Amino acid sequence: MMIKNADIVIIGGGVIGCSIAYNLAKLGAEDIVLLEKNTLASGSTGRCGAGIRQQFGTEMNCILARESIKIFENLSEELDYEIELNQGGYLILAYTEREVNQFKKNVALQQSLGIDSRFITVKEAKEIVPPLNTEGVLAATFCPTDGHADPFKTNFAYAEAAKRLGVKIYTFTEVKEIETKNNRIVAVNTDKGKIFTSIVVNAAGGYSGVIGKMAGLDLPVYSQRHQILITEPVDPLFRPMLMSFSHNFYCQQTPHGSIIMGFGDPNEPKGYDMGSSWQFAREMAQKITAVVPLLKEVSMVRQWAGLYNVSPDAQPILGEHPKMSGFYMAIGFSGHGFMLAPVTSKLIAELILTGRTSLSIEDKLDVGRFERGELILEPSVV
Amino acid sequence: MSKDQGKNGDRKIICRCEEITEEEIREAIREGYTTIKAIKRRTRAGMGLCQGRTCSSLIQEIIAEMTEKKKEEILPDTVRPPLYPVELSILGQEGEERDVFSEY
Amino acid sequence: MKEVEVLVVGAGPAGLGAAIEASRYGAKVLLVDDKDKPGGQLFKQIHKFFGSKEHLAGTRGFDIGFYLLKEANSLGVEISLETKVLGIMEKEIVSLLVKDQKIELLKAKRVVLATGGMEKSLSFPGWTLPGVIGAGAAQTLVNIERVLPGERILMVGSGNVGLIVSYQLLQAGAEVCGIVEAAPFITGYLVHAAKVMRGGVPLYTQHTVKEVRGEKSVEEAVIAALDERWNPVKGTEKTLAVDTVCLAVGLSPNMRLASLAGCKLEFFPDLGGFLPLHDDKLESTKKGVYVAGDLAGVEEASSALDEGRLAGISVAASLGYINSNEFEKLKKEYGSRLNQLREGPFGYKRALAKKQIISRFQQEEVGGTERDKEGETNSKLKRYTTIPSWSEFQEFPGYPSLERIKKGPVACIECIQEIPCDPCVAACPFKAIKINSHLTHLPSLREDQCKGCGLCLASCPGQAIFMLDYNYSPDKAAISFPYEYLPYPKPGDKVKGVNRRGEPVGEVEVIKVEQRHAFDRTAVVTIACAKEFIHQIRSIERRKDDV
Repeated sequence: MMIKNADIVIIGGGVIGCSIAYNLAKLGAEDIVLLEKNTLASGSTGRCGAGIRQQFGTEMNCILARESIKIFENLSEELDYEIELNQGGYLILAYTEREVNQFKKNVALQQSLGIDSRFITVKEAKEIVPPLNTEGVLAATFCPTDGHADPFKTNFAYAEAAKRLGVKIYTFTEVKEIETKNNRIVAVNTDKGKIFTSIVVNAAGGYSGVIGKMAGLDLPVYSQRHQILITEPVDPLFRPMLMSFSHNFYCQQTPHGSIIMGFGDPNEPKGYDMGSSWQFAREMAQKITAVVPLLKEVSMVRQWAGLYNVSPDAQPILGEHPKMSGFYMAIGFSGHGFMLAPVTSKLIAELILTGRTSLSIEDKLDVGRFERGELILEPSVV
Repeated sequence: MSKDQGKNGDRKIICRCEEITEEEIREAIREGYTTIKAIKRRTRAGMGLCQGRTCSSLIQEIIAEMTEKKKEEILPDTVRPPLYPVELSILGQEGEERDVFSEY
Repeated sequence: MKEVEVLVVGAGPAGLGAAIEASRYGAKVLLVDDKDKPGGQLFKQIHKFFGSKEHLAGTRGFDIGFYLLKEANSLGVEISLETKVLGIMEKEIVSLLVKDQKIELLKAKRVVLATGGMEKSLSFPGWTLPGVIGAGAAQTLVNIERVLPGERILMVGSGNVGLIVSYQLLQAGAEVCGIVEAAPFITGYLVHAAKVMRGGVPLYTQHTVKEVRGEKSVEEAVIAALDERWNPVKGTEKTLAVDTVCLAVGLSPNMRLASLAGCKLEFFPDLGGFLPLHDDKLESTKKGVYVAGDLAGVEEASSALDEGRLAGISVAASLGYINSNEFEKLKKEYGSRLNQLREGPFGYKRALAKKQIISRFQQEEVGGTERDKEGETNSKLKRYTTIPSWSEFQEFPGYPSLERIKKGPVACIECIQEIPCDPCVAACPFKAIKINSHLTHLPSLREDQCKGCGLCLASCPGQAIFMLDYNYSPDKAAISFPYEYLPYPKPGDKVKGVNRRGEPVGEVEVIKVEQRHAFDRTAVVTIACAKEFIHQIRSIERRKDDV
């Protein structure tokens, strides 16, 4: 039987929602309810590429990622649940002069923020990833503390820890309606019943726009399919995440041995379609076998798709909506939700409970920045 | 030695590809993961080379036994392409359009 | 993108049936199969099929396969083997992997999915050891590759697949050390069980495999009795020295491609599990995608074939090759042929489930009254834990009276379950065997018309007809029975006669071994034995050496 009142209702059982629930409870909040229309990690978290990187091109993303990595490094102990963090680094390949220049700027920015990334030669790149085909590669950047973790385990780790702290998690419970009055949240209506609350946290990932509409808000995000494929497990070939912006792909070997890869299709329409296309599998195979020819013999076993929730500057939107008191958002992660979850969830929790954050984000990540025209576009996105 | 040699007694593998035991499945169900999809996400059962062909119905049985769910409510996992593993070198082929019935 | 008119996936009986019919009415058909040979499971089926004349009853499965292939070829069906369908993807593009090295893409105006069934599994400690195999694999090994999966085999499951494969393993020279069945009765046809039991195979109903042990592969299996709640009973464990455990615990529809294609699936336990909803034309919820055979509900090859044919006809009609009047007629004809196969106590649940599929397709529930009515039919099914005794067989209309037996040679039909089958009727030149209006009705013997010619013996796919000659000689009776184990005995051989459970009853002399073309590789062996054994002996001990 679902409870009827809650202090805070979080919508979305992905890593964002679960980590927010955990951080709220950790800071002492009570009567927290999390609603998930399917199972935990059934949306973008469970479909993502699992990468964690700090090599971004905007100051805010860099800082968030740096802080996130710090949390990730101790997360297994903190949550008492092995999340399989593997800091094998990110190797980002530059194929054009333009990229070389951008990467130099990025690295300078990153280093100024205390991130241990560096600009490296092709030879060094080859040493880091021996099976790499260096043809056409002009240079690369490498950050050894980047890496990946298991998104399912991370999601479940947060959920279990939140439950231990008293958070109530309802799966297969779909939010149908958000009741508001005088620009304040009143209640959340689900297919299992109504919960009265004054605070709602929109952590609905690909569907955050839909949740916004329920509260009468037009949120500046859209959803877009990103496809991904995975191979059979093979012997360890390389540790870092391999990435290229001009060839537009990422690829990593999981601890389990499977190789997971994806790319963003610039022609992909906005929407909620999560079907699998033949073109994606073919193009992905072409891209990756050109860069790592050793993978030619490896078999793909599965392909799927998930939704990016994209914001206008490819940086997340965090905070309360100025037009709806009690409506908080952790949305628009633009493909970086998993890697940014540990820090953004902490910030949102602080914001909800104290009105302040330990990192200054209010004027940089709030939804108002778009209207103010303060767009700082993240250049490093796949 | 694999986890499932008969000598080890009651350790029963359910998902052969990922070597997930019956106890791991039961533990996940006790934790509240009571759909084939959720159990896959929790334990990796069904994520291997055969993509759950064998273990799916075994997991369905265990869920039915441990929960109040009826078998028809325990839906199979989403089927994803490809239905057979394909080498990336073959996958990357442009993909000839099959020449079907030239007269047609 | 090139577009084929009809794509049929799976070249088993359903796929062949669909391809043949669609093609017969004028559609261009591409039939693909992932294997290197067409026919699906048909070429593994060396036994004679049940059914009626339209279903080619009495014909061995592989012969049906050859017949269908010939028909498909003559109709111009293009068959592409070693062709795996990787997916039906976005924009309905079908991607094919040909011979594991080439990708081909196409679109199809209509798709018939005939992807068959998948073997269900059973888990117990040790089930992943080499030597634990599926019944399908065992059948491929003995009947296609012609090698034995092992020397000493434990079969798990007494459904028709388990029984038939056990029989074929015996024929191939393996020893079947037992058949384990969790249900408290034999779940397959009694006639199939009778064949293996005559061959000396013990049947353990209400038993399960508790564990399989072995260092590197199977060395022994522990079986145990089950209580009413399906829990193993302590102290009933029995260890069998076997090198192979063969699982025949049922099939489920191989719905993977159907699911990928977007067909809505629902659970129908009597048809094997989740399967695509479809209408009476076999079209799924995904427009233009048709389903047939085990995918549309696990049954057997004869109904798969007819269902395939119906799907092919529906596809041809939807493409305008058949006018609506004729289509209705054909649909009715095939509908009734299919219904025939679903009659009787074994078929009624499938028949009901098939109706439910169609009504679920139409978003209607089957009314309560219909269910109740069908429930009554169920009570007719008598289940057996073992082969009944002579006195039980005597109660049935195929068993001749004692008076008739004393008068001279007469057929003795030990067919006591209502299964859809009637070749015996046509086999008798004297019309001495009768089956009433329904294919599933029991054969009755008009004993006065029976001349004891013995032509019916080899015609019975269930090998359930015997010839009894009480007056063979002053002190001996003669008994004839079908026999399919090599080497055949020779006249004059002194061998052990066995009863219905394979237990040796007494020494008998082989007096005749008949092999006729019309018998289709089934020999009819006649032995002479003491007159007292006329109701007991039903076969002879298989020769275990020299195989």
